[in-house]
Amino acid sequence: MNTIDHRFAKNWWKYLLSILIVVVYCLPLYVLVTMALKKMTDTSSRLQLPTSLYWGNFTELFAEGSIGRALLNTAIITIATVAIEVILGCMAAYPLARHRSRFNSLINAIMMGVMMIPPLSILVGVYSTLISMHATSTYWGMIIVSAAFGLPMPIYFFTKFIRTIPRSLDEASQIDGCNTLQTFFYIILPQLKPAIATIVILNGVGMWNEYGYSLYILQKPEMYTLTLTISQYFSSGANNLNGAAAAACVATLPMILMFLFLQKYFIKGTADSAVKG
Amino acid sequence: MKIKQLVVGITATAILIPTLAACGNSSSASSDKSIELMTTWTGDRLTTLNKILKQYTKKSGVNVQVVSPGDQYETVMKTRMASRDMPDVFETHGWSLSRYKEYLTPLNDQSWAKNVDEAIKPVITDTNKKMYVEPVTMAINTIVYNKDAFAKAGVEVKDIRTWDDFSAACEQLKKTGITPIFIGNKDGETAQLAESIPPTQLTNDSVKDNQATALKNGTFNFEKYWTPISKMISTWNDKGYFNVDLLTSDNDAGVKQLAQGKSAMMFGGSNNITQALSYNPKANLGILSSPAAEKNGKNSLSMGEGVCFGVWKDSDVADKAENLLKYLSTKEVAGKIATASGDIPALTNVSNPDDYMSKALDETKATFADNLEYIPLFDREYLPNGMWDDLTNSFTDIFTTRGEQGIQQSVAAIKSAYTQKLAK
Amino acid sequence: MKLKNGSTINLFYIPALILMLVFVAYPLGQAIYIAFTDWNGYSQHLNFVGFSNFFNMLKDGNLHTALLNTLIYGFGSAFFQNLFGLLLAVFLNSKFRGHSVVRTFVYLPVMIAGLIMGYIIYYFVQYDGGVFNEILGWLGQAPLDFMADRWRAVGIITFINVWQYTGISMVIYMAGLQSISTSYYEAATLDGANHWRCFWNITIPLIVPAMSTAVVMNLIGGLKLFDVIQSLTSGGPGFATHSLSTYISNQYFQAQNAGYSSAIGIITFVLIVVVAGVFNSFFSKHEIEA
Repeated sequence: MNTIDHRFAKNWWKYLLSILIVVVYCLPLYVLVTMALKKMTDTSSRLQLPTSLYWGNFTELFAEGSIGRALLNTAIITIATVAIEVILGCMAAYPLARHRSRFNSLINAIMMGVMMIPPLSILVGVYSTLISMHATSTYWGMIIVSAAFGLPMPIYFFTKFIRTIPRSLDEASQIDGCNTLQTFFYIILPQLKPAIATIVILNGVGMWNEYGYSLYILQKPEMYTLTLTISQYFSSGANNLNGAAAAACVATLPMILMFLFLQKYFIKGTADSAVKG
Repeated sequence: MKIKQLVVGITATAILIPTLAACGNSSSASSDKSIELMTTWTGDRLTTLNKILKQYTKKSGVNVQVVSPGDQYETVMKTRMASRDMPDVFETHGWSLSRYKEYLTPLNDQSWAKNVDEAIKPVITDTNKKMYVEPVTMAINTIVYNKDAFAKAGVEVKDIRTWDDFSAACEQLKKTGITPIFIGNKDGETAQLAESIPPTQLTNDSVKDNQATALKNGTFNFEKYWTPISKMISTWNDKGYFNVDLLTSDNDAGVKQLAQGKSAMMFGGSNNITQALSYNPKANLGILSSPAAEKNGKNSLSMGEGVCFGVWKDSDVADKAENLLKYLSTKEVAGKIATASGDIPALTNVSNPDDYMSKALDETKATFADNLEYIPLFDREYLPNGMWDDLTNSFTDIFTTRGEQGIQQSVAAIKSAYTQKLAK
Repeated sequence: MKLKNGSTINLFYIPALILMLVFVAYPLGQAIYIAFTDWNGYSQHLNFVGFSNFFNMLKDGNLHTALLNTLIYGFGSAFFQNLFGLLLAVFLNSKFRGHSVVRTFVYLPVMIAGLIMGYIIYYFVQYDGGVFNEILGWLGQAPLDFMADRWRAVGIITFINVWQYTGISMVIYMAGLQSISTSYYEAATLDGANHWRCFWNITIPLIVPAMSTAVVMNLIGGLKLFDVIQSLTSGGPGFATHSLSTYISNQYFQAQNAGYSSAIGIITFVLIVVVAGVFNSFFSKHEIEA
């Protein structure tokens, strides 16, 4: 008992600081949630808890029906995009890491460049390419464009990562009679596991929250993603901020739950993006 | 061995994608027969529109695919114009002639065309007498006000005949503790000032030194004629007639204040009234006409396209689209749209005298009788295409830089944008 | 079998390359073409105007504001995210009960879309009924129009970005700190070094590799900042808080100067490549390659 008290006394400032940090980080979410639970006509302070919980914003949201569809769309698009990024990313990174020619370093530089293009500046080109392929308002159109813009990051990252895997492993496997493909699948890929987890996490969150291309590519309402659905609620013609807050809660909740349950992986994935790479 | 599962999982997903893509394709293939309709409406209004269109589907068996990009409507339309891939039916939000004409089918021969109100006809007809949209409603885009706030400050609408009267009214309101004018410039709403002030100084019939021709042929002298406009706004600002958070507030905050009577007036469309009523159904709101520049001038109301639907000229379901427009022009349906929009019906076979907005308009008409002029939207009629954003920028300068310098910047900004856009 | 002069392994990047050629390189080519025209973004007519879009950039005051803001967003975010990330990591690394709870909450905002974050913060900075003004009211202060002043608005946007993404830097630094063997500290303490000296002479040099990724990631994130600005201020008041990304979008869609907008896009692209390239080579000098 005594030692605990003593430790607490010594560390009191740490707890105070911790509480302060947690408050600063919780406040916005708190305001969002309380707004979602208030009626539109409730003009009480935004910091005040609702006097009675009003679930109408949520029931309306689900009665209207588009949010469920949006959840599904977002999930499909996120999973497929990240899968493509990982597969093509690993494949592309292997030669770039192992075979250092001038041509390959040029490719590397291009990847870096693409990572930084402000996507909207080439929007019309992208859009008209999709039109000619009949790919607007389809899953695959959205997925393939997102993957193309998302690829440089995994390639850059995997390349750095593969360079940390000793070349002697490749050579040993070749001596054992593996061809390049087998070496890649049996030697390199298992080593890449933590790097893949990192990309799945970082790009997964990015895709889930994407707002930019989806606006132009997914124009049919039944194809809308979560961010698109939410931006509808915030548009100047629709002035129901409380309904909008409810929609924002619903859109954010899956990510937050996923983070809380898989926290270990998120933290590790993020940390790996730097230390190993 | 776990990595194998991962590979299998990823491969399975990869195989799944084309399947999903195929789903997407097949659904779009089967919906080929449906009409794609793009609307600026969102929220409750969108719900109303969806109900109307569902009924149409029930009646005709034709599906209507409603697309509603909200605030991004114009942005999305511009990408689609650029790629020559337009929706079959879409709203033209005031741009049927200057922006969308080359993508639209002329609709003069439609059965409802004879019912188009005379007040809106000039706004939607081009020099070849062709009309490209079905005007379901027309919008009044002048000033909306809170009657209770006016009463509290002892301001009488019928006394506001010139801009000097208007300033005096603002002074009264301010003394009573009410914000006279609310503008939400986060949404670029300062441009709304252009629909009220410049026409009364430059282009209305009752203006003596009329600049209508000069504006259209590019000989307009901005320094001489636009400076007084900027100056007037700057003076109001100095006197504190605007909301203090003008630069950062959104339009919605103003609507809320208007509904509660905290602010008395907003420049802009009558749809602000519809929205304010959703905050406070008991709010007592009206439409105010723009006063004149000089003593014996006429008050004016700016009328523009409200809800207007056009048909894409290359649509492969053009017949169906025209049939849909016919349905939308019927008395019952057009009436519903007018009520939901907060506009005035623009087809003569439709009238809803009990509607809040129609009453408000009738009241204004009664107050000014013969001293009222109906004018087109200033920016659409007298400025080159695409100046809305430049108007916002120009007027914003007055508020970011106070005094003479801001006025000069504002005039210089509008002049340079005008010259540049006219040259294109 | 041809690892040494491997041509088969080069085939591996072909799918990725094709995807990027079709959806990035080709549209980029179109953007370069548009940059030399006066296209308004949707019309079927356009004229060539040579380099005039590029010359116009020199005298466009709003563009210069956007450029300056972008640098503030980029470098400001990178600096403060790393500073706060490092401080938080050091703080949480001092292992006290409940430190993982703090870590969870600091990381949490990373999961929220920038678009939504902008809207949430708007509830805070609104003049009428905003949370900050309410707090000012409790303190007996007059309400403040937070986003009306240019520098305050730019600062607020930078700090939202910092606040939201500090969790990433924090986690990276925590891992970095944990990878430093305690024997270094023990040896230094024996030599009489205090906490501060240990921090400067052991911790900092050893977490440079972690820093390089964190800085480059934060920098790119800050330089490309878009959704938060769009949903919080739409670039206003006036043009005061535009970043290059939002200004490009504004010029393209609202001002109908697609040609000019494309020209800015290309220059931005070059700018970001140069900045990130410099940083990358700076940090790779301090790293040991495996």
